[in-house]
Amino acid sequence: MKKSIIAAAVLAGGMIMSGQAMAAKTLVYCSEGSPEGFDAALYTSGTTFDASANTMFDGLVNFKVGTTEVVPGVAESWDVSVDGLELTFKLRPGVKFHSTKNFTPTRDLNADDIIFSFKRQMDKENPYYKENNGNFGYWNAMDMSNLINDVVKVDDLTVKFMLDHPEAPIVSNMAMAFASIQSAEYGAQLVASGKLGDLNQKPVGTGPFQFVGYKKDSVIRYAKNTQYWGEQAKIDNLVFSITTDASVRFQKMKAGECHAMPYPNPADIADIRSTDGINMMEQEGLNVGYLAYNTEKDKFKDVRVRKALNYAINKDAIKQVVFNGEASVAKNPIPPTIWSYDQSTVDDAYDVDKAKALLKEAGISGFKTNIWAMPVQRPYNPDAKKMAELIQADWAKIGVDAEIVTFEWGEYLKRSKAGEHDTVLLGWTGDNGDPDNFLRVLLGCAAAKSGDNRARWCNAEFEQELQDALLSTDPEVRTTAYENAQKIFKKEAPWATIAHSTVFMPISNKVSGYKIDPLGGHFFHNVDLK
Amino acid sequence: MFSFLFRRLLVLIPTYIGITLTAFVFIRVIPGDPILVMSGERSPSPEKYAELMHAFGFDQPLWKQYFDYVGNLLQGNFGDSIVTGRPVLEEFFELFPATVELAAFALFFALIIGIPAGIIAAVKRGTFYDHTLMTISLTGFSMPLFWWALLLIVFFSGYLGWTPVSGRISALYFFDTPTGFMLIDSWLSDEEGAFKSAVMHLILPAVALGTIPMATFARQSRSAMLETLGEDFIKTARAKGLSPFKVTVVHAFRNALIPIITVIGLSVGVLLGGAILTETIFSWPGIGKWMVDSIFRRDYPVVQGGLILIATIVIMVNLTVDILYGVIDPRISKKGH
Amino acid sequence: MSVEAINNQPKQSALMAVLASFWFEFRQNRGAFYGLIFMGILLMCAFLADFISPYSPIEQYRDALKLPPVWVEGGTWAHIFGTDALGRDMLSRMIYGSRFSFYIGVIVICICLTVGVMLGLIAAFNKGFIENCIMRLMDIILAFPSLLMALALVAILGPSLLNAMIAIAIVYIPHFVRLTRAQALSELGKDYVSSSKTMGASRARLMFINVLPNCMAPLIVQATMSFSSAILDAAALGFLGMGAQAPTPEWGTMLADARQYIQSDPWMMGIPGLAILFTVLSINLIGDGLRDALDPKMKTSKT
Repeated sequence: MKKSIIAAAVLAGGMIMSGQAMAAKTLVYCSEGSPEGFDAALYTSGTTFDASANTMFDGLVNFKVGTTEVVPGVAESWDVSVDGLELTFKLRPGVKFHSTKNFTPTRDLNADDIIFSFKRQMDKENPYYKENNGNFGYWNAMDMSNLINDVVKVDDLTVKFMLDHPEAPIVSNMAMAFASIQSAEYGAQLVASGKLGDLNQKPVGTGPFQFVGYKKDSVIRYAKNTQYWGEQAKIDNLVFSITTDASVRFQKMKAGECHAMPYPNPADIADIRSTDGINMMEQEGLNVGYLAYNTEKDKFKDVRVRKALNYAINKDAIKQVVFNGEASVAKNPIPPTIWSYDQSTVDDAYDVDKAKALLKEAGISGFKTNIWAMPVQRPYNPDAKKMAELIQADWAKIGVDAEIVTFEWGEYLKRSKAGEHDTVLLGWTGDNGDPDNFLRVLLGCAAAKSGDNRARWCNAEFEQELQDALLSTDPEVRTTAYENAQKIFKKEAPWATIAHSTVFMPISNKVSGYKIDPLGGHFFHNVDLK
Repeated sequence: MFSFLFRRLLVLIPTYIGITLTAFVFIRVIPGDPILVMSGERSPSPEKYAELMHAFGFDQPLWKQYFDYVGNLLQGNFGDSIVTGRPVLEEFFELFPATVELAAFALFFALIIGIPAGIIAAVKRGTFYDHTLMTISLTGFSMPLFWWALLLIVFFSGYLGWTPVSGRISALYFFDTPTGFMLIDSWLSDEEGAFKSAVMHLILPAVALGTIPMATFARQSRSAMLETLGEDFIKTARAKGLSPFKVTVVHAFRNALIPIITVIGLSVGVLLGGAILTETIFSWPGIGKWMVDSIFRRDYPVVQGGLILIATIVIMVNLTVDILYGVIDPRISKKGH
Repeated sequence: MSVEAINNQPKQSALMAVLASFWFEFRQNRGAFYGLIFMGILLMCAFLADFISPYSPIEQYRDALKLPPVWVEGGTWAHIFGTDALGRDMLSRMIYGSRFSFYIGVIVICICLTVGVMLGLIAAFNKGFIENCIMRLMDIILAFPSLLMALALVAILGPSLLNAMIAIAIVYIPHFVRLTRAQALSELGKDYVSSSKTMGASRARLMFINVLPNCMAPLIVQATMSFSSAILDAAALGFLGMGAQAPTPEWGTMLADARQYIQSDPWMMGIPGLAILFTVLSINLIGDGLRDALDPKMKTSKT
């Protein structure tokens, strides 16, 4: 198995190297970690999506790079039935899968490929479902099995999704990484040869780049897909040079060893800005970092206590210390780049006296509690422990004695999901640019039951607004409903909303055409190199 | 000799059983599991989670999982990584050459600097040279490795720009790696400048990793030399009028070799441990980094298999050192004849 | 004459002589002397931290974030070593941090000495099955690289300073067991032990009164060396996020915290790094001095 990976790499690699004589354009991207694999449906991490879905695959629909707008992918057009229960996609004719050492497609993309791509995630009898023990990260997290009843072929270039209930964001969902289109023909070939794992190791997609080879924990190599259905990539080779340490990545950028890097150290940002030859691209991220109060615990049942604690937090200090000033203070549970963001909200500004007064009003004079701080860096929170230390010091001023608690990441998620915390730091990065993807996933009543709603807060009024928005496809109705929901949220304060972090992308000034993806992905399709 | 070897191998059996048990129990009692870590904020529903635990067999009693695991091990099957889905053994052999290359050059660096330094210090005992060399080596011995590695990067790669920052070779090269040793593979590939790139990438991590063993070798060879220099046969050799160089290198050093070899053997464990930090800092794709990542990801099969394989290497090295004793020590080999 | 009389009478006066000659030897070694002075200063810092440190180590001065040390442009005398990212005074944190270095060293050595010596003696006195069990267990621990083993152990126990110390101690124990056993076995072969045995001395008596004191010299050297390794390993665990947790001003954790500022504020990593280096160096110098003074072999080779 190993041999053939290498063999494939050699063949394609040899081609590239000889092509280099004709000044092939090779872009090196210092990525932040190793991909877990190349089948995006199996995973939930952005690092893996960058290496797979964002470079080598298409969805039925795609996000237009740099926006959350849905544009045609391998489907040319789509149509939602009046009752919202049927979703029909018309496929683009003449879409070619990559030809690799491992696989040569004999036909263009058709409805079978779409059905294969989804059925393997939902059909327990599918060999790929069994191969992966059904561990399809996003599919499971979004509970897609309870939304999609079936995928059927209408004709060679038409597929229909039968839904269990109407859900407005469904089309956006189809642009997400887990919905990448795999080749049914390749899938069948691997089943025949018994190498089902290769679907994840030696990917074949329809995207702008195709797989050349991967040296574990070191480098991934892609070549331009010369048969791409859309506009072809402008660079010939794309290299991911895996560099896990952020300050080392910056050193590599400075030394000219790579053209672009994600996730710089907040502390290095000023330095990067003043470095010759590097442009610092930045954009407000589609994320929110928050502190959730466990509203099932007695002390947090009273909204005045929650509000008091909100007033006691100095968010500006957090912005300065944790984000190095490079973030915006959050007042709503959704970031301002998302439609329906409620501009009119007034934030719980830092006010120690008001906080003390509110606690007094609630008849409480100081208490003991805890702050859970994540053990890992996330885009929405680069240093949770530091954030917790700041909040701890702030709360001490109003007589609240908080202990900082942390667990291993998996354990942290499990225990906080079970509601063992008093207050917990966490956050979210949007998947599809829909407010529903924040509000219902993080604050809905179903989520309060499952525990994903870390505040365990179920408010009937709030829930009603969410349902109204979910069932409607009228943008105006949805916007009003979400704005109302945000007002209720602010009044009830189940969270202290902390910050929306800024996304940075230091990039060499030899590179043009790069756009920051608000959803956190890294795309090199439209990039050119001088 | 053979009965000695046989006895040593026999002792390994209970040790090995203990090692598999330790490796297995270790990762299982760590809180958290691979499914939760992999899914992050986007975790499955409790029902789905239970289904997944069942599908992976993690809901079985621990003893049953252990016996299944050992059964598979006996057939040479280390299982597949839960995260990547690839066989553990395949991943190990893809990454192991990188660690060997790094450790070998660290050892090489440590030997060519450490041993001569130790000899010089012993011969020039009590002089300025002795004090300086020993102070330097003790400082190296006291160095926090990760701090030292970062200093090296900041100074040599950042400030002076002499060496590349991280990785094994420039990302622009992509060629067949039949041996997995980048120096050999880059030599075999016809890429211009690839070999030089590989050498330049190796220098800093090898120096960082080799610093502590170097200090150990310098100190050890000094004291071993001092001891042998005081012995009768050296005095005899001197009295016979042999040149000081010959006395030092041929006679004294040969006899000082035994304790030095012991230290080299012991330093393999140190190198593998140090590789964890060095590989993490230099983004070196070896087994140290692989193990740390897998511990954090709770990738059970990888951690279990990796621990067992690493323990095997350490044991093999110790065994080799024991055998080498017999070869080098003239007294033991005389007994043998 | 009773057994005690045989053993104790010469020992008392001999002890004084040994100590005197030991101190003479030790003072000869200049490095060890400087090391001792540095450790003395550090020990004072640790004991008097409450009195000599200018600020609380965890108080955050939010209007003085990331101040450089006084000798760098922009530094002030108010914060001689500057402040960290949260505005905490570095000097105070360094002073309080010295406590943790001793704490780590002392606890690790205590665990290692008690458990290691006990197991070593038990193995030496119980040939056969028990000895085999103990020694195989030690083989298993030694088969894993120590840092990897410690990392796995801390992951099990949960990341904290105490757990890091326990993990490090477990990893070091085999060295103490092997050393004690080897020493004890060689002592057991000597005449005075067999004569005590024939006089009917109990096993415990043999272990602790006869054999153990004669094993002490190499154990002390080993303990000193382990003291410094423990500080280094605790720092490495802290660096990997598995050591002391914030806001504890432990030097290794401070180093890990400062890592992201290595470009922008390099002194934040420099100060705790140097402190660790000097502390470990001092202990190693003392260890060398002890070895020279205690090891009769080295003494003879000197003359």
